[in-house]
Amino acid sequence: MSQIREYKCPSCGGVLHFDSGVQKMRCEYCGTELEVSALEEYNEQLNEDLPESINWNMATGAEWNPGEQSNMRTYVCKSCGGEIMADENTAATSCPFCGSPVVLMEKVSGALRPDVVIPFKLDKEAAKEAYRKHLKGKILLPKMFKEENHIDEIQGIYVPFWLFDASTDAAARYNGTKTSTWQDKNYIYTRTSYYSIYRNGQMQFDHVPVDGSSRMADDMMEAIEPFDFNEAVDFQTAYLAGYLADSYDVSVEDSIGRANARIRQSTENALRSTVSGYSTLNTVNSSIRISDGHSSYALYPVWFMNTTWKGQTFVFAMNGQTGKMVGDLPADTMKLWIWRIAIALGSFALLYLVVWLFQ
Amino acid sequence: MKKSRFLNILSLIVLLVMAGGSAVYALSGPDRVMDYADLLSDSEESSLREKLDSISTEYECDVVAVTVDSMNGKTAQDFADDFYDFRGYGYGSDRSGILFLVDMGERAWAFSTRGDGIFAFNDDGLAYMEEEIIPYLSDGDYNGAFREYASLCEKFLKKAETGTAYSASDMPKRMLSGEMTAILAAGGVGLGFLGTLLMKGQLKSVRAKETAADYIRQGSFKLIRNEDTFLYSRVTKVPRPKDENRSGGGGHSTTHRSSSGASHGGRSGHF
Repeated sequence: MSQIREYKCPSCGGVLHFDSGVQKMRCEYCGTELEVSALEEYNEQLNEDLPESINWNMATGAEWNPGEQSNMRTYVCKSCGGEIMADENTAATSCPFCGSPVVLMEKVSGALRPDVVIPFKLDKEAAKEAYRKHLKGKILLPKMFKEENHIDEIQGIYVPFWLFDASTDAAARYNGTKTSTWQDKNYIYTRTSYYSIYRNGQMQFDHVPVDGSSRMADDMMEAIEPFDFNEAVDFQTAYLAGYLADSYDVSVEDSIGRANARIRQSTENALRSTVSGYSTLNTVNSSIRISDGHSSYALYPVWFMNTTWKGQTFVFAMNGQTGKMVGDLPADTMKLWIWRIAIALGSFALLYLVVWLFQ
Repeated sequence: MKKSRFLNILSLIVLLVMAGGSAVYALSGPDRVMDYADLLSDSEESSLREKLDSISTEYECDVVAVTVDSMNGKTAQDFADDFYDFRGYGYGSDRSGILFLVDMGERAWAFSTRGDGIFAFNDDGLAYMEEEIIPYLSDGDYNGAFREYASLCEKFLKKAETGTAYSASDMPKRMLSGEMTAILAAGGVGLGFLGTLLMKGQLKSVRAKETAADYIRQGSFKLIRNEDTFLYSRVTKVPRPKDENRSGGGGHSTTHRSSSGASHGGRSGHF
């Protein structure tokens, strides 16, 4: 039994009728013609647009083993409120967040036990060397900055991260066009062909890290990625000896949003990369389903350093496993303007010469 | 007697020198700078004359400058043509040369060319010379105008010796226009800012990660379904621009006949 159904024109939204003369669907409003099979496929794609669903399994972080907690100390900085965990044999002398000396001592309680840790692979010397290298070759860096720095005040801290695993199933629909041109004696012709493109794909993500400490700037912690999980080991308090550790203060629920955003973006990119050959392409609709979500609590190694210069604080961080160093540097205003003017004059002279020669 | 013989020889020598002198005068032709309107000082005039004489002899093409207060009702082009023809300017049987006339009465000017001058100074060339010289007249810098005239004539004649004259596609280089200079200056400033932007970029290393690309499990991406569905197509057409007639290599010289029947090239206008 046939159903009476109205089909909409993909070009203008008008009503399509079957035109027996040309044996195709025809829009009475704009005159566009489509093959019946193409219309069927297109409508099928429209109906496929999936509703989103995101499922996370939040079981993370075991309780502490008996006796472990008694070896841990928590220090609280009187100046900035920063909390640092340390093995009882490590003395924390100054707060890595603000530089003032730590004061109180409290036993660790209530916090979760980390699942895994990536131990420090690079030592303090390596960190100093990386810092020196970081300052090299920066044209606009003020000379005084290189000379007045606190290179000894480097601290190794284990930063808390929530790690997320997930399976994703994503679908996207695109509008694309292909063009071709040709010409005869009097005219230049352009044919534009319109396509509806559909993609549905699946992929897996392992150990996507999200900074679990509100004290560590998230963008800085992302900038020193990636961490290689293959070198992660089950947590033992012994690894903390000689280093400080931060405990998490951002809950796993609050961290999911960030993981979702990055996972979604990667999945969309992966789908998009399978579409090629079009002169224009734009995404009409995309949806993602995240399942088998699983999170764990990890400590990752980071070397930290603060420097104050001209009243501003500059923070530098180095990945304690890979050695990648980040930290924004100031620009010398005088040098900036000198370069600007020099390049402007130089390129003006060069452009003038080139244009003059090719008159 | 010795004394009278000496005097005879002396007067003979003097006569010969005078005759030779006038012969030389006759060979060098009429004066190439005729400043009837007295626009140039004496030193400017003689300096110009020296310059034009040297160019004319070197390239065997008369380069003449004339200023008048009135043209007696003639048009500037006719006046220039006639002046050239009747004063006897020009090298060789073709009477090759160029004449630049400035009339203060009607504030008119004209170029008149003849013989090889028609080839060396074609329509494009005369248009170029107008652009470069007439602004001096408008500014009242008459010496400047004639100096520019002399300098350009030398350039054009030198070029013509190679067998090809300057034309629209191949003109002498000149300073870029104010507009162009301003555009290039803006470009320079733009590049200056761009350069420092890149340098500042060196200093920044802290940025959030947009994706989780590093954490994709290798080989886990599976495309379950893909469809590229053709919907419809449209054809549009644009009329082709008709190519304008270009004279291509080499310029063209429009010629006309003067009152004496000679063939002249030229250009005229007001200032």
